[in-house]
Amino acid sequence: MPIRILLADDHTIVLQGLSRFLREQEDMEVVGQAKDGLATVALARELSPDIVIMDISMPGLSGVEATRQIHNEKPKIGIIGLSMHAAKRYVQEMYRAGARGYLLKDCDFDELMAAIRAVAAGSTYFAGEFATIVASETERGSAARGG
Amino acid sequence: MTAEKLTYEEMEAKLGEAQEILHALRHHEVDAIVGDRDIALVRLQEVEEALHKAKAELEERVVERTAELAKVNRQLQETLQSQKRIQQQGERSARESREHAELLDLAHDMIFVHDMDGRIVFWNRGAELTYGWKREEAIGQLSHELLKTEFAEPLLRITARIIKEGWWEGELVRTTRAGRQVTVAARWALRRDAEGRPAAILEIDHDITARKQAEREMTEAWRFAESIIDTMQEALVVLDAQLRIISANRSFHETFGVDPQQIVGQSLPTLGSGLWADSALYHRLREVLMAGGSFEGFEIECNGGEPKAFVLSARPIRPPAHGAERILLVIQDVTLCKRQQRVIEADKEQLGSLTEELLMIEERQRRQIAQALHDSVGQSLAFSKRELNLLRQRGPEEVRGRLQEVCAQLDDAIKHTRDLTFELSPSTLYTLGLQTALEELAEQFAESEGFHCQVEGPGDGIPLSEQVRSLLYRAVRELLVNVAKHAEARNVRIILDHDEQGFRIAVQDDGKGFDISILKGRGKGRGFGMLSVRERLVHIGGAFAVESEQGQGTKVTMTIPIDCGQPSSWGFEGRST
Repeated sequence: MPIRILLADDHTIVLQGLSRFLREQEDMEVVGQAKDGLATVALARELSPDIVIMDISMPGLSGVEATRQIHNEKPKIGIIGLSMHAAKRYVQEMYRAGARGYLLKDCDFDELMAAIRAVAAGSTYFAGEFATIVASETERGSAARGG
Repeated sequence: MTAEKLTYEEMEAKLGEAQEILHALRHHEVDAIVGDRDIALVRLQEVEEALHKAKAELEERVVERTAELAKVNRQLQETLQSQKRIQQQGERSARESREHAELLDLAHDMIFVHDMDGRIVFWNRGAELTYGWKREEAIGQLSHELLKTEFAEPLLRITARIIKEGWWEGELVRTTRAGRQVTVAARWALRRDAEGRPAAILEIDHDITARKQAEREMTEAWRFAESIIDTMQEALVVLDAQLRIISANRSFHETFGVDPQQIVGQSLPTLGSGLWADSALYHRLREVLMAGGSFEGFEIECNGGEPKAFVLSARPIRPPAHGAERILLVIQDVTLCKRQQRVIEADKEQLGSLTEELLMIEERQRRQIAQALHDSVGQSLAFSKRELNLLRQRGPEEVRGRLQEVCAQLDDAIKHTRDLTFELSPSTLYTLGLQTALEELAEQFAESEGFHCQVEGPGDGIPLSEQVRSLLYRAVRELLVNVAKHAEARNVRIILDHDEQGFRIAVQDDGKGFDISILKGRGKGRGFGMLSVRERLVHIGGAFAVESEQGQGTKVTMTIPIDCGQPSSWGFEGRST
């Protein structure tokens, strides 16, 4: 059973590049693509993917807000932030919104696949420098995550 | 005894006789005369009678003689007295003459006498000193030739007058021996001889050269002052103790359209169209009168017809110990000034708005550039790097090394793009809010500047417009730059706070502090950044307060009232970077 993936990014080049690569993977399936936050929430609701690869900067609803809504509705969906933003605030925000992984867009495909597989397996994946942020966020307790 | 008068000699003889008898009797030579007792008795009787008679006569004569002598004596005394009186009088008049002459010499005035031909016959010390000729040199000279006298009227007329009236006075100009011209107030008096004919003229000259000079200077000074007073733009008016006008300058007449002839004596409060009937002004003027103080900068405005504004100042003239006798009131027409001030205020306001607008445009452009960098350049670089990495893994061995290098270059480019984007416009400010952006900023400063920097606040959710958010962010950034440059602080706190009144941010450090008076001088250096922050805040209705003391750290508090801090968009609204 391949991992069903929803891609959310307002950059066509990113969507194309990602979907081309992911389709090459036998254990992965791109079930949908969205170019804004609202469409992402709607598609996630409709398709119930295993994984959402979520950009943060999107028109309409931001990736953070879309993550929050999807996570509230369907907590089983694993959301991985994939952004140009290296600021730890975004990582924190995504983590608090319910994301279980965070990668920078210039990461290797290998790392992306590793993250997708980890999150699909119920684990988390935060790229090296972000691991400490998540660790301190975990200390803050689950109350901070609720919002 | 004969009844005729005895002479002195006879009386003396009888007396001698009597004395002898008496002597004999006294010495018991009675025997010598006892022989003829009767004779002796008769003789004694005669002698006694003669004696009585002689005594009586003698007494009578003595009384007569004494009276005679007293009379003679009296006459003698009178004569002596009268002689003494005459002598004293003579001495006194001699002394007086001498003294008078000396007095004439003591006088500073130039006193001389000339005969009717003009020849000098007397010349005092004052004349010697002032005109320069000694008495012996002057005597005999023709006075008006010697002194080169310049007459204001013909000498003939003066002479006629002095003969008719006995005196003349006027001003003359004379030249001294040294050639200096001397102006004198001259008084001439005529002396007549015993027959009443004009004999000589006494001249008393008082040197008034210095006084004349002073008078000329005073006149000039007065003209000068008058010309200044009349050309002054300020209206001047002098009031008496009843606030009646004593005098006013041209500007006063022109400014208030009053007739210079008619305002003198008028009461100021009743003058014109009620402009002066200001009770506060009246009160202030009374104060100047009572206490002798002064005031400045009293403003009055007149709105009837063309609006005008005046600034008044008043001070007492010749202030005695209690109260003043007169007041000088200076009235400055500031209508134009006020109008210009309003124009300047409006211009300043407009300039402020324009500046703010420009800054907002700049901020927007920065944000657009940052967004463009992030969206196109950043995404493309990231995509390229990911794809190249894939190619590197899959490609032939010989290109892997090269691709590795290209990927490293792309890595650098991505990092630079990221830094540049943050510098231009931190996306967190618009996506995650002010507090988050400030936290990010604080971390960056803490890392690069080495002080501990802590943001304290209620979390994001404070509704602030994009304009206010970016202004406050830039302001805090400016303040942190200041702290890093000057404060030598170890701890910096950025405290965000809001209530129903408004929103506040305080930036507080424990550094060395500074003298906040330097902020008053609008110079370069440290104060400049703070001042531009202050001006921007004040322009949008906020406030900016600095508390600092040497060695006590600095706290800057910025306040935004709630109504101007309202958001036009929320943090997560709109397209975020």
